[in-house]
Amino acid sequence: MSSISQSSPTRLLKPDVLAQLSNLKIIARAVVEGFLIGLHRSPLFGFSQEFVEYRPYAEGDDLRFIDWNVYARSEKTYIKRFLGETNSHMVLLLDSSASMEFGSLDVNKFQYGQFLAASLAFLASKQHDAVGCIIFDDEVREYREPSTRSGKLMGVLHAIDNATPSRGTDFDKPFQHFCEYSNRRGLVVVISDFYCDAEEMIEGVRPLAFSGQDIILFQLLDPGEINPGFKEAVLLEDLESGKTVEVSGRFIKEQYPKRIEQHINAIHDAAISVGADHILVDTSEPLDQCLRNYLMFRQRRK
Amino acid sequence: MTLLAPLFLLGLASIALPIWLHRMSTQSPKRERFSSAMLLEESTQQTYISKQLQYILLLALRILFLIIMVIAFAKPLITKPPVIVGGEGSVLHMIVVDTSFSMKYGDWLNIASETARQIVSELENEDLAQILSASNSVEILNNPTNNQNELRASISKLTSGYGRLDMGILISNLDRIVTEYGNAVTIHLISDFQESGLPSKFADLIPDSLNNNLTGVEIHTVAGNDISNLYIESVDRINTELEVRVRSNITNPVETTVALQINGELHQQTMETISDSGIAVFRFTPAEYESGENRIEVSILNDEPLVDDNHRYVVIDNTPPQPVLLLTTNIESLPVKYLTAAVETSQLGFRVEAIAVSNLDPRVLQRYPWLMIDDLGIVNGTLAPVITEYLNTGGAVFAALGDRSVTLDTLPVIDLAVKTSLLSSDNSTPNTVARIDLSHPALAETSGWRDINVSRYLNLDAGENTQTLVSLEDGSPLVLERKFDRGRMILLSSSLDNIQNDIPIRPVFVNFIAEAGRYLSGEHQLQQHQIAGDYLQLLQTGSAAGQVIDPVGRDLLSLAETHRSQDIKLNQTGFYEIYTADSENLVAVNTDLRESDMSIMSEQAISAWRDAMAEPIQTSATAGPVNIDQDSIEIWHILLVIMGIVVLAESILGNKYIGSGRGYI
Repeated sequence: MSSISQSSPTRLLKPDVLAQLSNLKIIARAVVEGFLIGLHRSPLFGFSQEFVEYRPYAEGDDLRFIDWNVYARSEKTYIKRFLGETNSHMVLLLDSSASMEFGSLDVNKFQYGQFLAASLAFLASKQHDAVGCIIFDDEVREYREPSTRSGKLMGVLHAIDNATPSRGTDFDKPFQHFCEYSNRRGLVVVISDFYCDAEEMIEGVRPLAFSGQDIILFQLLDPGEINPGFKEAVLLEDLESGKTVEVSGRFIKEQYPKRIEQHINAIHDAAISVGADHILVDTSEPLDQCLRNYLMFRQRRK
Repeated sequence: MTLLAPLFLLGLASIALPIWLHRMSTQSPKRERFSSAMLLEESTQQTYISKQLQYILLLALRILFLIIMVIAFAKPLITKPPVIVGGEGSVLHMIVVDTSFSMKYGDWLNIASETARQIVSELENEDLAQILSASNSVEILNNPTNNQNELRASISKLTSGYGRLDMGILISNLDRIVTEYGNAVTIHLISDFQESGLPSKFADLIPDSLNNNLTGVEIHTVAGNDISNLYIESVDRINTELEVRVRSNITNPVETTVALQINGELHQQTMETISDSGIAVFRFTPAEYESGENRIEVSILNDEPLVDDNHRYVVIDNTPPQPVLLLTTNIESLPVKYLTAAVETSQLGFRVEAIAVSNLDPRVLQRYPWLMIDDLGIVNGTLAPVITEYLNTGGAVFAALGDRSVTLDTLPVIDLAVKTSLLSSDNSTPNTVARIDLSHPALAETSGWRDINVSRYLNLDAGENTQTLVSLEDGSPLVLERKFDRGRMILLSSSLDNIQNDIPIRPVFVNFIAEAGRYLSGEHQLQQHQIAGDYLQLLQTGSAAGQVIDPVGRDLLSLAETHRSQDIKLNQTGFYEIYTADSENLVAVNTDLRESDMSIMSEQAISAWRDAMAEPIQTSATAGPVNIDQDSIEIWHILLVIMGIVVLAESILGNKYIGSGRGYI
């Protein structure tokens, strides 16, 4: 895999560079196109929407997918089949709780989540998948129904762009909402820091998994959360609840790394238990790794 | 406790400052926003309590520091509880015991102590008493009290030293103490009452306070009738002999043996018979003295009641005189004669080597600690830089101006411009001295400058680097000093031929040359023979710092003290060794001869003294109420020590606190 250099288009995938772009659509386009250019050099990845086989036309099929060239030669109607055809329905669940506002770098977790969600939406749209989104904290703040219409993408991006982090987190609400309003199988992408009880959270996910949804959980963590680096005792204020906890430098050094690792593992194990994918994202890293993980995920589910 | 400056207590308001600062720092700990407290644990809680305690302790120390400082500024006094409250008609008995050298005689001091105890035991219930030790000075051994144990303890502290008691001075001191006390006092004077201790005027023995609150003076004599004492009155070096005079207070002829030790070795022992209350002269002929200072100890070997005065210590300086160069044009000239005579008369320890300037080998200059030039005008262009170099490297020059200087516009070496030359003019009216800088070492011991007449001299323009020591009436300098790098030069702006002035034949001349020579050569006057009880000033040795070793070989000064100017009390007899940066000196310390003279006041004289004091006693026996003795002690220095401890504790605790990572103290 080629390395990312300043002259490479993939340099745009760096979060701090993306943060300088004002329009989320531009960001998404920059990410995806930069990412796709990079992909040409890799044999591992391809579009899931690639042609796979022909099958005879059946009543009810979309006439747009009849291969008229084959019909001209053989006078038989065949339909082009593409991979991912059955999963061309993606809903992005973006956590906009206050904890997502945390960031020790130029880009906080929520901004990173916005970039990621927008990029995924744009990528899916490029593959002609229907894209929808749910913005949630302890309530569902915004819901955009999945649609393949081109104008819908702008609506999704607009919803993502307009979201602001506040309040707490409740995963039951968005998952229930999703179950209520979407009964079609597809891909569910959850972007959150997952500061919640893993078991409780997965109880909300479980119905989606049983209904045949492919679920991918992007857990966004800031480097300042993975390794806070406080050497002295410090009074830490919870962004969601406002609660303050005075912790010692020794705790930060010795106990906290174990706890965060246990929590990540718990989320991961819980995700695995319902057949979901869990991807840990360090917000200091470029977005292409997330997109790569997404594509690998799609390939596995092919 | 009382406060001398209670207004300073307003400073206690400053306590609010640390409290406010601590409060501020407590309220604003370092806060950080964090995504979720879900994975955190209140892990500082356990250490927080101990830290809080440290924090409170730190605050308390800071407040304590301020309180102590404010109280220290307010000058607190602790008033000691009154020793006793005397009732109406009570009297303070001042028991004054002679502890001078003569009280070492036999058991006189024991008798005096016993007498004091007797007086104490006879005190009436309401009476107070105080013990005083009298010698060179009066020492109060306790505050007025009627506590018998305390008084007896004070009496047991009495020891006789080497000091001398002057009865006139003692009465004067007691007068002052009694007057300050302000209430009824009876003085009990316990002494041997030597005649040598009496004042020249009998009236000085009568306290003035007899007309005020002194109710009486009781005289207790400890000396008996049969007194026998021999003591060495003098030791003189006469040519090659040592003449020792021994005086006897014994009424019968007595065979006396006297021994001479030189530098610790017994040299000679002689026996003579001294007639009743007479003097005997013992003569010793020491073979050879050692070069430098010799320790001469003369001892009477007879066994007698007072043995401490049987030794006499003398220092004999056998250092050969050092040469001092006198540059001249004519070694037979009058200035040479006058200068040579002055140097040798002054016993400076120098001998003059006069040499014609034409015969001078400049290389020999460095051999001489100082040199003289009878006429600075003889220094030619070749010699001038040599003498300047000599001065810059630490040499010293005494110079006068003669005929050869008359024509010069600028004097060589000293580089002074001549404003007017009156050296060869016929000035009929002689000039006299108008101003003398007696603070200068070369002039401090001189006198008689006003008597001299100066008719001719060079009026010099004293520059910035030149100090005028003696100036004439017209303001022109007569004696000047110019300092060079490490050396100095003293210049007389006239001649030494007794023609242009009469300085060489005036008494001041020898003194001036002696002091100037001592100053220029770096030699300083140290009194080699001193009386026990006097003070030795290290400054006299020419250096403000040095070490002093007493007769038994102990260092009297600590290492730190050796760097400071010290006055050392000579409280032993024998040889003191004084070591300074550039010299070693011996000082012989002996007892005051007057204390050895055991002529005691006659009974008639004592009764006359009593009678003289009796009359006022009857008229002034009005005992007033006794003061409550409330001695106040200032405690600011104690507070200073406590403050130091508090600061130290605060520093340690604060440092520990900061070190533990709190960071917001």
